[in-house]
Amino acid sequence: MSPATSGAGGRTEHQFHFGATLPIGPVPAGTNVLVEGASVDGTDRLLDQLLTTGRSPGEAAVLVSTDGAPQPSRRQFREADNVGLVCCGVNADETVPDEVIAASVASPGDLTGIGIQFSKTADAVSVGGGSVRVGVDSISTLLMYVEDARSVFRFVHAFTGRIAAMNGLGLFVVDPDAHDDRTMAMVRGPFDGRIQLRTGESGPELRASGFGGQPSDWQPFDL
Amino acid sequence: MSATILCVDGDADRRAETAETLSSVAPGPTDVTAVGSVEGARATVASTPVDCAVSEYDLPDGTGMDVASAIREHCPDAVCVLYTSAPHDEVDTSGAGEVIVEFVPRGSTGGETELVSLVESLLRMRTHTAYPVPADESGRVAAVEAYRPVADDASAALDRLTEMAATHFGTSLTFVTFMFEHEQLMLEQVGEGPTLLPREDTVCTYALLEDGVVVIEDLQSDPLFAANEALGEAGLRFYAGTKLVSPGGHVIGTFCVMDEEPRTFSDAERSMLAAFGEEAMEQLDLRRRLADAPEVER
Repeated sequence: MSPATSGAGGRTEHQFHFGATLPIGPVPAGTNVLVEGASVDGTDRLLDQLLTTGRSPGEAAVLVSTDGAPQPSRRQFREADNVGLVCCGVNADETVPDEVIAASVASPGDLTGIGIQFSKTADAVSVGGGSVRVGVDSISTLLMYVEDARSVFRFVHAFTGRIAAMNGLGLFVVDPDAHDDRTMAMVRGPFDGRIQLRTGESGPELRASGFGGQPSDWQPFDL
Repeated sequence: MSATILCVDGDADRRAETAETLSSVAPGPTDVTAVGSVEGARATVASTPVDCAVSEYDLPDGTGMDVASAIREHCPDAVCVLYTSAPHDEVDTSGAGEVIVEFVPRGSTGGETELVSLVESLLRMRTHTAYPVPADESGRVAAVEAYRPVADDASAALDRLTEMAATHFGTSLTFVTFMFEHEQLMLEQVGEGPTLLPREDTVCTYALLEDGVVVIEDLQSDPLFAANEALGEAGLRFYAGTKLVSPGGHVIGTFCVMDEEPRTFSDAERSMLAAFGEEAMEQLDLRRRLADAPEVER
């Protein structure tokens, strides 16, 4: 992992917390984390927890959903307060509750449009100037839709830079088994740390690394 | 860190105001060039590299997206920002989905402060590159710049090495490179090819980040390089490269072979390529130490 975004934008004292349900310690503002796992193991539900649990008053969350709108079963995100959504490929207004501030982009291949609609949504949900958690689900979908992987990398690099500059928390999902080692090495470059997800013998387990004070072993948790 | 910023706005008063705002980008010095049109922007970046472009969306002969596209063509690593009073939803990205721009609303409370803060952060982090940047990139760039003055002195020795490597490996292109901040320069090469390439177009840019000799047997079937037009147009399919590592531990360039056909590369060939790279580095370092040594009185 490169320290490309570490300390960028002059970090504040703010830290992001995740409550008692996730075995993850506080994460400093301006951090970008790669969430590595397969969707069958529940990366979408883990992302929803990371975006919505343990938030301080005024903290907002924005989810960039690259594969349509979040399913109705993702109630934790859809029913949370102070959240925004950028949907790719569907009309967000028709698919999410009215309380969710939503924007749409025609296709996951419109990386520039995703960035602009994120800017609009983040401005709308952080009216009080609170910190923003940003989820992107997923980089794997972008790599499927965009022919030139370098464009996806420029997008990820620019987006993580923007999140660091605004002292937010970036949470980008990728399925490592869907890509070759060289592509994964490129994808991991801009991130400060990662959270790996797997299904262990007794249920879901995660391991956080790259940002200080995290348990080094696989930790069971409820998903 | 000095920065060159291009400011684009069709309205002269607004353009002057934005240019004045951008002149305060820290730590400076900041050189701001202001133009009023897409064509003006295109002409500027065709002759003068910029680190950042800040553009209004609506322009007399196009949009800020046209400016961003021109920037990506000439200065692919530059930070591109739309600083505009146009609403988000009016920005048409349909023809520029992979250009990537930042969006800062003009006229909002604190908009100027946000613009300056964002440009400062993104210039410092170099976040609009289409490739990973090594951890100590500023140290690495300083290291390669220190070897630039001795490239001519080492030319004959490097030429002999590339000739020997081309004969040994039987590849169609053999070369030694310096990897500067934004471009790869071919110091010596056997075979046809451009001498200067944008960093994002080269395989070596990615090889810098990997350990040992990097071999890609078929570039066309590799997910990272299959869509690389520069490689496709050159008809290159095979790559093997080793890093040139300075005594200070910085990667300053590469020693590479490429070919028009996919092929394998044995362990013995990897060892031999690594040896060619080490010899090239020694030749460069010898010239640098000679250049740094005090002149001996005769």
